[in-house]
Amino acid sequence: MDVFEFRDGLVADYADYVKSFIQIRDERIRREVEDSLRRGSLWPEPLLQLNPSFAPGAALDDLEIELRRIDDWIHHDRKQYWTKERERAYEALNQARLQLQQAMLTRRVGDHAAACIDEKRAVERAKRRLETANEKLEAVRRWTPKIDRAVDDFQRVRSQFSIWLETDLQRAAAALNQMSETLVNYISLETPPDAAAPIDLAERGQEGEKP
Amino acid sequence: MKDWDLNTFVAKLEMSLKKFRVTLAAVETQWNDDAYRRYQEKHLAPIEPNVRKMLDAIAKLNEVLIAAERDCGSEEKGYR
Repeated sequence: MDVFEFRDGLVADYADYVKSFIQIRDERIRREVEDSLRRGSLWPEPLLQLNPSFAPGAALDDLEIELRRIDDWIHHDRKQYWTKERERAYEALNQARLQLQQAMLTRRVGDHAAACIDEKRAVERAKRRLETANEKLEAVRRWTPKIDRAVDDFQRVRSQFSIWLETDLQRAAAALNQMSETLVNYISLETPPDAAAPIDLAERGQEGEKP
Repeated sequence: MKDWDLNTFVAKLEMSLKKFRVTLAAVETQWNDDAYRRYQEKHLAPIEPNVRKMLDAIAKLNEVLIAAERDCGSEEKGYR
């Protein structure tokens, strides 16, 4: 479908319909009304709209919040969690050792020391818990600079992406709007009766050129 | 405990890229003259590589975070 042809046909039909109601006897008034109709007073310019409003920054702002959470996770959450866990594990080990000593003293039979198997297992478990907490704290220390570097690397790409969104993409939208305006202006042109050559829309729409 | 979420942003970006491709295909059926080709080359062609670069950067960051979470997490038995 040729949208320009369709628009001209629609306007012509509407003009015929409107004119069918108008019977003006005064010559001057009739001429004035006909001129006014020819100028298109009753049919406004076509409305072309592009790009509903959008907020490219909103999603990036959300992303910034997530990056702060990552930073908080490794610098505070993990460090605090495993430091406390190490303290708890240390207390648990002391407690287990104490219980083992008490059990060995109370259950001693003559020169024979009691087996105290459960208490010994509890001490081993507490030792493993303390080791794990120490290993985890070491892992947090190891991972903190690695995560910082990874976030910094990512921030560089995010920053470039953000600049691209705010500059190049905005320029693309502006160029599209300019072409749209050129088209609207073209539609509103009255074709001179002797005009034969079509206007090169591609040339008129070219970015940076004045139509 | 992990409380960040990069997946929502990735999903939004991938969805936008998908919509962009569909819209572009629809536009190309109606607008395919020299003006479009110039516009496509200058403004539309860089969109996908730029978005892809961002997605790759997130994937790289995610890889580091998954490994860190495995080493520093408290999900194993006895912790949490």
